[in-house]
Amino acid sequence: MQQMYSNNKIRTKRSMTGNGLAKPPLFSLENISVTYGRIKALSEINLKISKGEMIFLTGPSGSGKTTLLKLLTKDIKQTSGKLSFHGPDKLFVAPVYQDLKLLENQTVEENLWCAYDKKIYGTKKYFASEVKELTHLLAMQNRMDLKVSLANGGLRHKTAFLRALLTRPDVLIADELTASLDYDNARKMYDILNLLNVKRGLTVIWATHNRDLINKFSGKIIHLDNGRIIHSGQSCFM
Amino acid sequence: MFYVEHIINILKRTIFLSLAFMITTMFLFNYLAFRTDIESKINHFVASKIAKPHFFGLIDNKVNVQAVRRKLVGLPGIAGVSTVDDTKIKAKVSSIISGLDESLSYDDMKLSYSGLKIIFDPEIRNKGQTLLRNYLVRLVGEDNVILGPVLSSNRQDSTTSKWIRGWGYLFVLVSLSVFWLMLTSQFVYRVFFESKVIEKFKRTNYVAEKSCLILVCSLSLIIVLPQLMIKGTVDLISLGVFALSMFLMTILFNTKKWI
Repeated sequence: MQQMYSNNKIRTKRSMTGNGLAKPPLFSLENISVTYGRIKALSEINLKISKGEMIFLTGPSGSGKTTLLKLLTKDIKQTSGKLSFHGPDKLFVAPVYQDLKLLENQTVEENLWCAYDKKIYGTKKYFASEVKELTHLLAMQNRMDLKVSLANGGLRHKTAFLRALLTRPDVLIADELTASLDYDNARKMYDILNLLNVKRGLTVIWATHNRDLINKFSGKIIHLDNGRIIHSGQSCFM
Repeated sequence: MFYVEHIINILKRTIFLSLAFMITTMFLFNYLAFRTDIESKINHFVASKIAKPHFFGLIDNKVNVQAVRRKLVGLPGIAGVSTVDDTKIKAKVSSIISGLDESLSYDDMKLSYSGLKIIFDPEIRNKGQTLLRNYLVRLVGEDNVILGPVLSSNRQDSTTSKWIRGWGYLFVLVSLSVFWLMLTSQFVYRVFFESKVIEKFKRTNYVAEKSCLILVCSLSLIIVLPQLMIKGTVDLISLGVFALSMFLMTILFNTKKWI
C-alpha cells in the first residue's frame, strides 16, 4: 500500500484521467473581489475549478491565498462578483486551516474521530480501520493518545490533514499544509492526495508559498500576488 | 445520539466546570422556584437568632427545670428556650445582694435557682407574651419563680434583620446569577467552539444549536426533579427564565465568528 502511494505510475494515471479531460467546474469565480476595510485582499478574480483538479495556490504572504480559500470554504463572503458552486447536491469541502483549528484538549485520535460519519462509513470498525491505515502511512500510529496541545507542529499538521481527509470530501482545501513538515512527510501527504485524486476524483486546492516544494509535485499552479492571479499553468514537474 | 454523545464528551472533558455549572443551575433556578418558602424560613431563623424579644426567669431548683423547658418549647409563640449558665446567675445575684448589704453573700442566702432564657416568636404581640409569662407562673407556682422584664431586640439586631430582608436576598440572587452567567458562558463557549469545528467536518449543520437544545432539556430535568419531589408541581416561571437565558446566550454566541 505504501509503495502504491509513492508510485510515480499514479501521477501518470492522474494526468491521463484527471487533468487531461475537460470536466464541468465545481467552482466558478467571476470578478470576485474581497476587501477588509480599506485593504483589498482579492481583486477581480476569475477562476474555474473542475472536479479532480490538483491545484497549487502560490504567492507571497498577504497575496490573498487564504482569503481565496476561505471564500471556497464559505467562511467569508465576497464583496463583489459572483461565486457559483456546482457539482453534487451537497458538495462537501473539507478544510485544513492555517491555524489548523484542532480541538486542543482532545487527543489526536479524538480529533480524527470528528470526521466519523455513519452515513459514509457505516460501522465504526470500518472507520477505525481507515484511521489505522492512514496513520500508519504518516507514521503517527504510536502518538494517537497524545493530547493535541502537547503535540509538535508536524503531528498537528498531520492530524488536521487526516481529519479533513477522513471526511471523504469532494474537495480538500489546505492552507499551508506542509508548513511544519519536512520534505519526506510533505511527499507522503502529496502521494496520499494524489492517489485519492485518481481513485475518487478528489479535487485538491493546496495553498503554499514554498515554490520549491510544489515544483517537485504535479498539478496546476495558480500564482497570486497583491490579490490578483498573475500566472496559471502546470507545475514544472510536468 | 451524536449530539447527546457530543455533550457527554464535553461534560467529561471539563468535569469540574460541568459540575459547577450543573450544581449552580440547580441551586439558582430552584431558589427562584422556592424563593418565598426559603426566604420565610430564613426570616424565621434570623428572627429567632438575632431579633428576639425575650425574658429571663429564675426558677427554684425544687422544680424540675428541664421538664418546664420541654413544656415551654412546645408552645406556640415560643421560638426557643435555653438554660442560663449557673455561674452567670451566681455572679449577677451576688452583685445585687452585695449592693443591698455588704455583709451578705450568695452562699449565706442559701439560694438555689436555675435560670431560663425564654425567647418569643418575633411576630407575637404583647398580649400573647403576657399569656405565656402567666402560663409559666402557673406551671411552676408563683412562689417558685422570679421573672425578668421582656427585653426587645437591640437596634443592631434589628438593622441586621432588616438588611437581610431588604438587600440580603437580592445580594444572594444577584451574586448567584452572576456566577451562573460566568459558568454558563464558559460552558456554552466550549460547546460552540467544539461544535463549530466539528460542523466543518460533518455533513450536518447547527451542531452547536442542537447540542445546546439537548443541554437545556437535560438541565431542565435537573431543575424540575427537586421541584416535583418537594412540591409535587413544576414552577414554570423558573423553568422559563432558565430556557430564555440559555436561548439568549445561544443567540449571542451564534453572532460570533468561530472559524
